[in-house]
Amino acid sequence: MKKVAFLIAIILNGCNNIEQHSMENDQTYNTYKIPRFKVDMALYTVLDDIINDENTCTYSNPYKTSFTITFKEYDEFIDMYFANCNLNSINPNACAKIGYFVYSGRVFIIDIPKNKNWLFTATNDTTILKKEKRTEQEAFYINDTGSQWLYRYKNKTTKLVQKSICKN
Amino acid sequence: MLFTSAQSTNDYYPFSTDPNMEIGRTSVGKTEGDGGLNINTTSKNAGQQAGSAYVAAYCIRNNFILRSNDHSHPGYGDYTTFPSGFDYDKTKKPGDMQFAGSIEAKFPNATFRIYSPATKEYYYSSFGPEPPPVNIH
Repeated sequence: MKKVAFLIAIILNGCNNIEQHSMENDQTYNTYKIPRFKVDMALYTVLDDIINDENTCTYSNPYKTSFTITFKEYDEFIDMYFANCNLNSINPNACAKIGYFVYSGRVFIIDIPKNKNWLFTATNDTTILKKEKRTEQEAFYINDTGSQWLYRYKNKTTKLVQKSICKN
Repeated sequence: MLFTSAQSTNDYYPFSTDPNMEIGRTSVGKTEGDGGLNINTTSKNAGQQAGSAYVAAYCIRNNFILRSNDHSHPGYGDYTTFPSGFDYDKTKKPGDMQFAGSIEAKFPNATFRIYSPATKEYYYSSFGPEPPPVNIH
């Protein structure tokens, strides 16, 4: 429980700084409520593997590096794309459709699941995320840095399909 | 490196298997074969490759047709054949899919491929992995 409280504090750490600035100009910041989910035990092994993989990266910082999970649903299976991320970089425009859960001291940002009887169940908890309003730069280039994992959920089991970790 | 389209197709494969270097190849010009150009680029690291973006930006600014962009996903054993960028909505960290989208906006017929160390090619677009294009006669 202490770990969870600590991680939420990390999420809000940058926000505390932002609050100080926002006193001068409240128009500059928005706040978002992010719902918390509970993750099914069936995914614990996968999450352990991902955390262990990421711990091998020389750039890994347990206080900043977290993970996103993006779901792609097909008729017979669901693909789950995991990627490492920095909590400070969460996109404010996505806040209405994302949730989070905490496992083994790491924060996982997920799409709010469409299927309520799946690996993630809603809780009554939320956390407040405060983000600076800013115009994002739309300059795209080939960027495969960081770590990525693809897991496939089928017949109530989750299997690793591919991974690419610690790319600098 | 500059190649004519006819030269480059086979020349690209050895480059794409280097586990330490991500390599890009951008095909530009109206026609394939000797009438077109393939431009191979690398940033000399395994995780990113800026040269393709410069070539794409040049094509977009100068209305010079960009037909396709390929790049490798290098690795010693762990590598992915799917495009990066699935987490863009959440983190704003652009990946392969967003790069494809920025080109598709100007060149909707452009194709995009990832080459794995096994020299197999995988098509993708701004929406994610795609099956190879099919010619209908």
